[in-house]
Amino acid sequence: MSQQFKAANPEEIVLHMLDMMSLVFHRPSGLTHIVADPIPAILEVMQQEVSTPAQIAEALENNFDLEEGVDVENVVLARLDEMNALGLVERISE
Amino acid sequence: MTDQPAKNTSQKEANGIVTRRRALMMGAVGASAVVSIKPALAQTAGSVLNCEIPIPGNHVSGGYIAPDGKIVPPDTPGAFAPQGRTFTGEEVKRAIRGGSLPGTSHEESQAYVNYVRRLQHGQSGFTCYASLQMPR
Repeated sequence: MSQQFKAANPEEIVLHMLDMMSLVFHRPSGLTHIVADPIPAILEVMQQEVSTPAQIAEALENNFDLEEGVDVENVVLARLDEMNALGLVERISE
Repeated sequence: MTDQPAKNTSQKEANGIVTRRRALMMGAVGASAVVSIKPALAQTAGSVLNCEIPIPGNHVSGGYIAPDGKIVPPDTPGAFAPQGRTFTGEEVKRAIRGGSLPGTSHEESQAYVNYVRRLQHGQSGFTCYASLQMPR
């Protein structure tokens, strides 16, 4: 699991928090996405660093109260794959 | 996945100040956390035409763009140096219909349009290009 990801440039994304969800407007595609946890948190901890799912999982564990018994790293990877398809993050290496 | 940090307790307890961290719902691997809005009205109005396609996208990293749109090594004869320009969906659409991209020669414009046609899922500009082709 050495895949690396980088979040899109902040100026490409408008993130608007609602109560339970967030809206992400992606300027290059002109599309809006309704996203649920943990996506906003993943984008928050990634900042502009090139990160692996393991590093992101660790940052989430340090910054948030997570449920017990969740495979955090694999959930993070699944969400990164989703975001990669939408252009919200970029896969830097396999 | 075996080196889990000890426990999710509040980090500032040592100072006598207990700050509760926000609870985060992780969900499951197979549970998608995204719903994309592709409103038909927004397509016909400004958003598609104003979306942007960087030419080349940042996956190209220094390569030149050949007349057929392929990425080739720098200084390949007949290929165009990356200008790092961004065109709008509207500009690309006009070029696909036979016009030229603003500020480019005819040959350069053709190479760029061919490059856009080769964009794939996940590359910068793909979603914009794909949305140009959605039926109105």
